Amino acid sequence: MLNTFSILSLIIAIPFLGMLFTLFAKEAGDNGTRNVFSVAVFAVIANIVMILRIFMLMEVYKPGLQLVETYNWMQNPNIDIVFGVDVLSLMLLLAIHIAFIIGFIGVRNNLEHQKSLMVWSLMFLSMITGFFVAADIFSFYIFFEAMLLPLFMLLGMFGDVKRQEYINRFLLYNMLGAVIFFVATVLLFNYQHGMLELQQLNNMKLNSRLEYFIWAAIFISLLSRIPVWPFHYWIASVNSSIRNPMIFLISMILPLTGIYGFVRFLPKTLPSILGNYILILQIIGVVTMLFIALIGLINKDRQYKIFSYITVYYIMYMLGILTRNEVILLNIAFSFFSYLIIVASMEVFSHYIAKEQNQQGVLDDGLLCAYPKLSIIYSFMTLSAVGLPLSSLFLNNFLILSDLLAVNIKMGIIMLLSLVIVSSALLKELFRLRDAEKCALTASGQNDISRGIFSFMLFICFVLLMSFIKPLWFVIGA
Amino acid sequence: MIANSVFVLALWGALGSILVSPKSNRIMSFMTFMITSVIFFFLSKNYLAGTNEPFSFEWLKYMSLQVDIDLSSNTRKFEQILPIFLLSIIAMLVAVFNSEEMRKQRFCCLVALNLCVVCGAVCAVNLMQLLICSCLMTVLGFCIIDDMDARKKYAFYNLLADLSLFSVCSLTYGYIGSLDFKSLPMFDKLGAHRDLVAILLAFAISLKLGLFMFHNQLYDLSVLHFNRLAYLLFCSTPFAGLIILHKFYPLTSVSAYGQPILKTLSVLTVCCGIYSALFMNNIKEKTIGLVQILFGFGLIQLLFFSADFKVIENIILFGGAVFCLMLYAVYYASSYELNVSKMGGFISGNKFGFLLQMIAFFALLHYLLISFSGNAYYVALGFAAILTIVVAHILRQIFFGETHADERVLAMLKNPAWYLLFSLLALGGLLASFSYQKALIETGAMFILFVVCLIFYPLRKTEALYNSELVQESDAFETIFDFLIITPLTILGRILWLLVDFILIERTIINSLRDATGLMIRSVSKLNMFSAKLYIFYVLASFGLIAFLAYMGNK
Amino acid sequence: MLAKIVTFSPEIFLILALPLIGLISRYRSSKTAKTFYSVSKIMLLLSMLATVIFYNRSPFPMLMQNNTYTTLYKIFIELLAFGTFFLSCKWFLNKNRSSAMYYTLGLGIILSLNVMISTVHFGILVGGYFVASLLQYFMLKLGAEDYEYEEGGSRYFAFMFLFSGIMLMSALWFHAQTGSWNYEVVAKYYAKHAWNVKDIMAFSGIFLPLLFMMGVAPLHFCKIELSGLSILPVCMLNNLLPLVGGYAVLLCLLTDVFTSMQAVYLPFLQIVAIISLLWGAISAIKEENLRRMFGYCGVYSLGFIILGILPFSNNGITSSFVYLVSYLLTMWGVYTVFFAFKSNGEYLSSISDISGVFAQKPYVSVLLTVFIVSIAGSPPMLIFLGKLQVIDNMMINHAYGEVVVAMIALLLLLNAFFKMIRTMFFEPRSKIFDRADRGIYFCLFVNMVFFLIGILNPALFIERFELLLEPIMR
Repeated sequence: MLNTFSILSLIIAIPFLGMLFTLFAKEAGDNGTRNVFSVAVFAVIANIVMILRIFMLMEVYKPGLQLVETYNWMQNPNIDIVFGVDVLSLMLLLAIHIAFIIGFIGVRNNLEHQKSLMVWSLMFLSMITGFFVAADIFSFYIFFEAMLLPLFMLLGMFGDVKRQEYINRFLLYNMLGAVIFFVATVLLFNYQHGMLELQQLNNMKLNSRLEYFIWAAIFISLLSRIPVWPFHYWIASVNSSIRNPMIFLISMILPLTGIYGFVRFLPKTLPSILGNYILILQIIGVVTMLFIALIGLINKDRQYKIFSYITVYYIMYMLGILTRNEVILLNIAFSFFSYLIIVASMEVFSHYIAKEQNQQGVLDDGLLCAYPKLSIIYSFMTLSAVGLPLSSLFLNNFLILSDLLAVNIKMGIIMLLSLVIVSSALLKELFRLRDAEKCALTASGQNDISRGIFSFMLFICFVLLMSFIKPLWFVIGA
Repeated sequence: MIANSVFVLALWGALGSILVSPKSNRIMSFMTFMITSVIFFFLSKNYLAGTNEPFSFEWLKYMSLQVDIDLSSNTRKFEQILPIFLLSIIAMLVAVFNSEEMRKQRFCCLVALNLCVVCGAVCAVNLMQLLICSCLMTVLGFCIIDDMDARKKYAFYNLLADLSLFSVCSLTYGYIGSLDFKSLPMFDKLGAHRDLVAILLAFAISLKLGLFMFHNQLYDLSVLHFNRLAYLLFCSTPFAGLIILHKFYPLTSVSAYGQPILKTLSVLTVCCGIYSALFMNNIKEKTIGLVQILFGFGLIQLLFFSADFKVIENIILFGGAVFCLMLYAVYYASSYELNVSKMGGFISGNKFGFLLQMIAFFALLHYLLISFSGNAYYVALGFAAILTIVVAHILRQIFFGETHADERVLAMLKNPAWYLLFSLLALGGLLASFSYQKALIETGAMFILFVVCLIFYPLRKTEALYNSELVQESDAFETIFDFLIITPLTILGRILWLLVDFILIERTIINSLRDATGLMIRSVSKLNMFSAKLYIFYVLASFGLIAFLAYMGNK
Repeated sequence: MLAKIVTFSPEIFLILALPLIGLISRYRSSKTAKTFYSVSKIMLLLSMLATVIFYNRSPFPMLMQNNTYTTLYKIFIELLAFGTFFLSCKWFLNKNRSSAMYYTLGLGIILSLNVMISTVHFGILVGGYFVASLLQYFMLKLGAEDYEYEEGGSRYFAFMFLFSGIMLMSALWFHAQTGSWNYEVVAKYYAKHAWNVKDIMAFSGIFLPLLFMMGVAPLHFCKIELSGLSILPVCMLNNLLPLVGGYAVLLCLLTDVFTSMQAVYLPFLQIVAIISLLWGAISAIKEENLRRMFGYCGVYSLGFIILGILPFSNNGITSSFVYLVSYLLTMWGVYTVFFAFKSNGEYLSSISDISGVFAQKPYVSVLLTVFIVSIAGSPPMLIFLGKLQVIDNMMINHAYGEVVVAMIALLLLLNAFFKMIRTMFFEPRSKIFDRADRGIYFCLFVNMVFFLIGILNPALFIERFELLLEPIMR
């Protein structure tokens, strides 16, 4: 056992310990709920501090995984659990943690099953943190599958009346993916006669039959997480049914694992076998993009619009990753940082709007006019989301698209078209929400978001803006 | 100098936009006006002194992306910036003193911020800076528009324009590997998909400028306060469109489609502008029509005759401002009467205003006539004639003939506010100062034409169209877009949703799996019955299987 | 002689416990379940201690031979029995019933299984099998009252008798052919001889009863039927202990005695393993009775265990054993949780009974979920280790078809678990649940400690298992 008490293990352990503390925290009464909430938030903030510390410890421009920790897990078969990070994984982790904080804001007044929500959310966070620091194929798989349980529990506990249907779909797609991935992992492990670190995967040489199966398995399992046709179905069902922002957020973070998987698994020089797979995937990807974007445009459900936006972006990132271009990869990482925060904020405040709409018993047309602070934040996030220069999305998408258009113009055009459609859908929704003439509420600002949350969200807006003005500004020495 | 001005304005504008208070509304707006005026003064001084001051800031220096922010000062940039400054100052002045404008501080600070962005756009030496400025202009324009209905099309159209421009920049950068405008001509050699680039660029420019087919966004702005409308018409995104055209000019000719599209659209825009200026009842829509004519004219001169951009900019900006102020003055004088059909005979109470409008208009015509030579001159002459007829027609309806105004309007008819008249005079004076002694005959001819039109009122029959709902209310392009784009997309979305999601996945794949599992469960359930006979069967089957395997093994 | 008696002490302690319980039951006035549990516990601990001390000593080498392999399994059986007895004590206390018979029969079963594991004599094996099965039958009668039980019990009795008889006939046939009851002699007979139908039948006569004892499909019927009918302590004991005993004996016989029959039993085991996997998984989906449902999960797990062991390589034996141990530890946890599911003094056995239990018993529900997820082989739970080893072994042997079946079965089984979790967590509560005994929480805590150690440092166990399994390794 080498270097066990080190910082990467710690960032997996902190949310897990937070989960245990939350599990044993008293929940009865208002104070109890607040107590549970505070413990959870504290755990996430503590981890953010640790992540920032890791940024300080690592050399940002050094290629490959850093701060590698190895832990001999088993000797027969000889399996080492290896952890390591690079800028990409750390950026994603930081964004996920911030998104979690934003998500927690959305559920801070939730009284029903607050403890369960916090416990399973923290467990998910711990598992996904493990996933992003995993540097070997086994730990990668372990966390890949382990994160499904908390999400499954959350979907079941907080889902609506139709939950059985979408949980079935969730199980079907994700477990199928996980099982296939497991088989591929063991197969690779045997083929290589030993441990496989993710960095070595790039240089992996397989025989043709095995190659065919392994890549098919990896593609299917990773795609099962990404809302690409026909795998989009479970996510679409979940998102149109879940009314809890935290769970929506978690289910939206899940596709990231598939995307990240592609980053780690695809070799730098693609074997010829992958040519066919990638072509198929590109076709399916762009068709799905357009398809989901169109449904997002016609669907009146705000949540579905956000989902379609998220989907289009995820697929764009996936197609970007398939090009194996270093510039695109790096930009996707930076882009994800803003993207996750924006999506989290939009979802949380969209949920807030829906809640207020229910409480006030009015239509949500023009509702934002009665909530000035909320209106500012929601508008900022929407405008950032549609690609205006308010966050790093703008710069990164510029570079991603410039390369993608150069690689495949047809794909790029459909991608652009999809982006236009989802952006229009979001803008349309914003206009509807800000339509003063249709606003049924006269009292202004009474139930608006609190000053504390407003200040926090302004800070988040500032972070986003800074990510545009000075990308990587928070990375020391960058 | 430009850099300093941008910093001061950005800081002031940002603070002023955030720290809004009803108490400080007027004083803050006045201070913004004053600060901008002082900056304008110093900029003008520097311009006259021929100051040349480089300023470049390394913003991004990554391997994949190097972007410098350039805010260098030189005569050419001063020439492009100063008109916008002047018009912005006028807009601020009007906002400060006009009682109709409620959010003075916010408006003035947004104008200040917009000025910074305009400076950024004008000074841009790379695609990224211009792209960002264009997007920021959209955002600021969005904020300046204080009506939700007006915002909708404006935001959609400009978003589309920005995304198109974004795509053009992405494509260009992908091929030439440089963001510098100086490298743009290389695209002709290195680039691919030239048609696409040219079409996208033409699309972006048309959307930003509100050319024919995409002009609805401008007409939707007619619900805004006149001052805001005027400002948006030529200092905001349309101006960005003009800058984009100017900076991306080499790309318009990389394909056989770019320029023809723009040329056709500019001619059609002029026609559309004439139509609106003549037939629309709403005075603000008439203003928009007049500005459209100017934009169309400017583009024709640029695209057909490669006219000097500075001149075109001046004509569009000052001309637009003159028209806006002229009609705003009428609108103000008539106690905010919107319909021209309810005017007429206003000359009695508004002689001074009319005189100033005439001066400003003829100064504009004069400037227009002296700015071109060769074939461009003849086109300008034709345009001057058209403008004269249109303006004469409008002024005839407003100032002369039998009045259709109601008693309240007539009773309250007054001269326009001093700041409007002052602005009009200033603009007229400025335009006149460019002209000296040239083209007096042509201007005189135009004056005669103007007078003839006033007296004989040749287009009097068009008055009937003011009562036509078809002309006044119809939004043909919205209907066309809706029919050609939105409806098919919506139908396609629904079909895909139903066909792919519901029928294929839900009904076919998932249900099949469910049925298969159900079938297996039912089959196995029958085998799980607690019955001794069944148990015996299993035992025998096990023995039989062993026997079979042994037999096969031996074989 | 004294040395032999001392070496035989593990069995002696167990034998002594039987009259001791009888005497206490007869003469002691203040006797509760705790009293019998204490006696059983002490004797069991002494037996375990002796087993460990004399791990490689055999009092009668011709009849029984001890080595690290037998010791490992015996200790497992005794540890499981220890845990079961502890929990059963709570059950009997709660029900206020006499537990003398339960502990007596339980110790008897342990004794029989231990003898079966250690023996190298077919006669003793048959005897041990018969006694163990008969005691199981008697145990099933504890607490049984209704007609349904009578029918199921009779069926079990008949088949138990049938299999014991078949086993006896096989043993007699071996004796007739070789003149000896000894494993080694029979092994030599099979190795030298080109087997005929009778040899096959004789082999089946030993082989199938052991599969019946373990509950491998399609011979799982009685086990499943009675899981739903017997009382909880009996169900737990009968589902866990015979499985370990049967497995240990089967493994020993197949590797040491019937090695030459591989051409028959390898494909047979392959087929029954696949049947078990699918049958267990599919049946579990529809099952409404908690204990039967986990019985089917057991059938499924047995499929995995058997697939893992094939083709009896060292790697396979280890992987299969790791799966077995993980499974037993998990199932012990599952049954422990069943002891906590109580309403109005009644132990709940239907899935619908535990609807919404999470609301009142969150920790127990979460732990049951952990066990369920573990059975599903999801990482980082304990059975994942077993699954990993088994699948790895299958891959080494290029058994890709079996891997696919195993994975399909796993996906099917998840439906059953989903139903279970849905009932516990997502549905409204239908009952008021009784407060669980602290001892149950203690057991769960101990279980979780093992779980965590197993997950975090599996090498700690696996390396030692490999050493202990050496006698049957090749």
